[in-house]
Order: sequence, then C-alpha cells, then structure tokens
Amino acid sequence: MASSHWRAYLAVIVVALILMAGALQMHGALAVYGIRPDLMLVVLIVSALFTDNFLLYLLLTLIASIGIRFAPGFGPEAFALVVVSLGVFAVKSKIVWPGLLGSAILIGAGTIAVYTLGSMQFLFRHPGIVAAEALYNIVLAAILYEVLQLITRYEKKA
Amino acid sequence: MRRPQNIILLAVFCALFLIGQWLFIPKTYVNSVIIQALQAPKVLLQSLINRHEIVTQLSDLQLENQSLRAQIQELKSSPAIIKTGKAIYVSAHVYSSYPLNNSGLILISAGADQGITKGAIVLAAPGIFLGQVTDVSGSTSQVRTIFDPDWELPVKIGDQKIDSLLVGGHEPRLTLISKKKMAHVGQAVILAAKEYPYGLTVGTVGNLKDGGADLFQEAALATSYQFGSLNDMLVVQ
Repeated sequence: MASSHWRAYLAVIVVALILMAGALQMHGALAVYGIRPDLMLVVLIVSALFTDNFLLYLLLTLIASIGIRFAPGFGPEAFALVVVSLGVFAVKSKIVWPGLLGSAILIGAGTIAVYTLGSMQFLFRHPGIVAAEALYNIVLAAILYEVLQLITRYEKKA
Repeated sequence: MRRPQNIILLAVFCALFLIGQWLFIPKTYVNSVIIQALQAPKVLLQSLINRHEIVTQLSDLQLENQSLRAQIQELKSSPAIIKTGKAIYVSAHVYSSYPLNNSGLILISAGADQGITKGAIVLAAPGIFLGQVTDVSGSTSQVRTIFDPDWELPVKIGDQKIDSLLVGGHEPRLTLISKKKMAHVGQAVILAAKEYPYGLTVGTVGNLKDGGADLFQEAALATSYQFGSLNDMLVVQ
C-alpha cells in the first residue's frame, strides 16, 4: 500500500518536472553560450528508468509532447520526442550498464536520435552543437537521476 | 483711561488669535489623533456588528482591484500599432522560442488580426533587423531570426561597405570578409539583401578572426541585445 502511494507520489513529481521543463525549454532558459538543453528529453528518459508502467509512461510522453509544442499542430520536435522516449522505454531493459552510466548512454543516443528524426541536416552541419547539447543533457540527467534515486531509496526505507 | 486698557485687551486677543492660528494645525492633528483613539472602540464595535457587510465590501474591492490590474496588464500586453514618421510598426511580445537548437524560430503575439503578413520584417528596435515573419495565424506569427543556423544574408560592414555574408546561429558570424579590406571591431553591419530595405542595422563587428592563409577573414556579430532575453519586438507593416 505504501509502495503504491510512493509510486503515485513519484508520478506527480515527474508530471510537475515535465511541466516545469516544458516552460523552461520553451523560453530558452538554462542556455549556456546559446546551447539549450533538451529538458523534456532528460526528464522523460530518466523517468523511464524509474517506472515499468507503460501506460503511465505513455501519458507522461503525451503530456511532454503537448508541452514542447511550438506551433499549432504536431511538429517534428514533438514527433521526435515521442518516438525517442518510447524507444528508450522499449530498450531500457536491454542496456548493458544499468544506472547512471546507462542513463548517460541513453541520453547521448537520445539527443542524436532527436536530431536524426527532427532535422538530419542540422546534425551534419553542426555536429559540435549537438555534441555540446548531448553533454549538457547528460550532466542534467545525472543530477535528476541521483535525485530520483534518493527519493526511491527513501521509499524503500519507509 | 480706558483707552489703553482696550488697546491692551485688543492686543492680547490678537496675540491669542495668532498663537491659536499657529497652534491650529498641530492642535487639529492632536485632536484628530485623540478623536481617532476615542472613536476606535466605537469603530471596532461597528465593524464587529457590520463584519459581514465589511468583509463583502472588501472582497468586492479586492476583486475590482484585481480586475483593473488585469485590464491594465491586458492593455499593456496587446499588440499596439506604433507610427513613427513614415514607418508603421506593430509591437509584439515573444510567446516562446523553438525548443531545440536546430532553429532560431520564435512565436510572437501578433498575427493576421493585427495586419501582419508573411514576409514582414521584424525589428528588435527601430532600425535593428531581427528577422522575418515565416508563418501567420490569427493572433500569432512565427518569426525566423538571424539566430537561425540555416539562415545566410548578405551584409555590408562600416562606411567602406565591405561585403560579407552573415551566417546565422547561436552566435551569428560574419564570413567572407576580404583581407584586403580593413574591417574593425565595432563597425556597423548593415543588411544588403535585395528582399529587404537597404541599410537596416544588424549589429556591429565583434571579435575578428584571421583566417591564416585564407583570402577571407571572419568575425563574430555583436548585437546590443541578448536573444534569450528579448521580450518585445516590432513588426513592420
């Protein structure tokens, strides 16, 4: 019973994080030297490692795709985010290094996959920007991973 | 005999009158404070008796105040048409910017309802070119800015009109500057694309990079505004 409460608590935290990440991302907040992190992708990939409930994760992905929508309609950015996030959920059980390293690999691959789906031309013309963004995403994902890890450890103790 | 007495009496009255006038303001102030203090229990009792009525009035006033503030904010936020000389601008606010790094698009709060058309020029401030409207809907428009990595524009540098190519991006660059021409940091960079009015300022020359053995050199484009913190802009009608 306590576990289900904690899961609901965690889901609420992730939804709040997604909404916050969307607002920050759409206003270019946290940009360093013009490189903005893909906060939505970071939150979705890290949260994929903490849940096995596909329906809940699908809901989170749909919320995120609405949050990242730049113009009316379903843009390439939202499409890439949904596909990559669901892809990560599908392959997460097969990653060789679970934990922080695994999440870093998924984030790096996820960032490249988003640009492959959204704008392949940009990936080839500006690989440095994509690499810098991937690195930035990995740093933020590591912080979020540790925070969620702390919460789940606290849950187990409780 | 009585006359001096009368004069003295009159003088005393005059003095008292003057002193009274002099003390009038502090006296009324003291009186008002005392009266307020004496009236306080009465006011307290009255407020306790009419508590419900006062709370309702206060609530109504708060709502009215909030509504007035909201109306002021709405008026401030709505796109306004500005006429300066021959130019007519529509002022607009930035709703959001494209969420990924591959585009310098922004969404602004003015659209077809405000007379914006596709291709309209967008300025960061009068005379400062920022971008162009690429898509228009009822009350919003999409703007491609000079911070778009895929946008290239011909520009001219300084009074010598040195040719260069502006390459957009997070840090826009001035490329293909001939080494034979002496470009300096701080020189104005003006737009020279045939689609736009000649002479719109884009920014100034930033750090110059010598291209080594190349025939051309590069420079950073310095703008007097930060793209990330740009909230308002003007659309030329």
